[in-house]
Amino acid sequence: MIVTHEVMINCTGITGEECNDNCITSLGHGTDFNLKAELPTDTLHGSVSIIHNDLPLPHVVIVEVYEEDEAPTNLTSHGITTGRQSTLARPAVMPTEQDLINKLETLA
Amino acid sequence: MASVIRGSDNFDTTPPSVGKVVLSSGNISNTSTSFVDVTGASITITTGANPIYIGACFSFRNNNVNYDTSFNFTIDGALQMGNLGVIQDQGSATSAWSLCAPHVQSVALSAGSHTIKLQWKVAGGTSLMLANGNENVQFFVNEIK
Repeated sequence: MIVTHEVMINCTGITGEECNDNCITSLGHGTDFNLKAELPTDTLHGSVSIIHNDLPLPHVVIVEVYEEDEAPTNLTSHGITTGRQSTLARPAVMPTEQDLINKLETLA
Repeated sequence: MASVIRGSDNFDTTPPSVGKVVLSSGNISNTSTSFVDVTGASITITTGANPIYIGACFSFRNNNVNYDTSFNFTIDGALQMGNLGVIQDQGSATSAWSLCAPHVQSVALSAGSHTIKLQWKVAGGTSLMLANGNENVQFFVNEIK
């Protein structure tokens, strides 16, 4: 499931990465709903991509939630197998599109 | 006296198709560990049975030292630079920006409409691509004929 939502966010004074962290926190980021890998071998339930427009333009937030499990494959960097990629998994509780939009609106 | 050699009556006189996108409205962040589109970096052109040249140029960083950010192009959904694409790992500081300018020449495409996209993924953490008025993303496609 991919949800694209525009929300007014003022991220002046913070980095884009910090703004991204604020977004995934608002979406309920955690072990049960992991949207950002802390380690390359983490199990992820989705991802977030954001266009950080300056006000008065809204941020464009794209939330992808995996609907099917996907086994990891070997991670090869510059020809050397360094481990395995993250596991992509459907969350135990699948959020609705409106759930995600409501949570993003808390950032406005 | 100079001689004039006449070309084939079937010589293709149509100019090559080109497409260009500049992303400059706001920086773009991403946490996906599988390839996803760089939002807005999509070009659809109509070509003859010719190869195309695809290029992009931008700066980015990841907020985790040593973590990879990978980039790839797709033509009609098919990855063009292998399954992993071009990879840059974050150096010694998360504040450091990397310049990335991938470019590819495709095989000859079928004549018709084709959609070309720039995609990216991270090994972990968050990657940020500069796409603002001062430091924008250039993404372009040129038909080769």
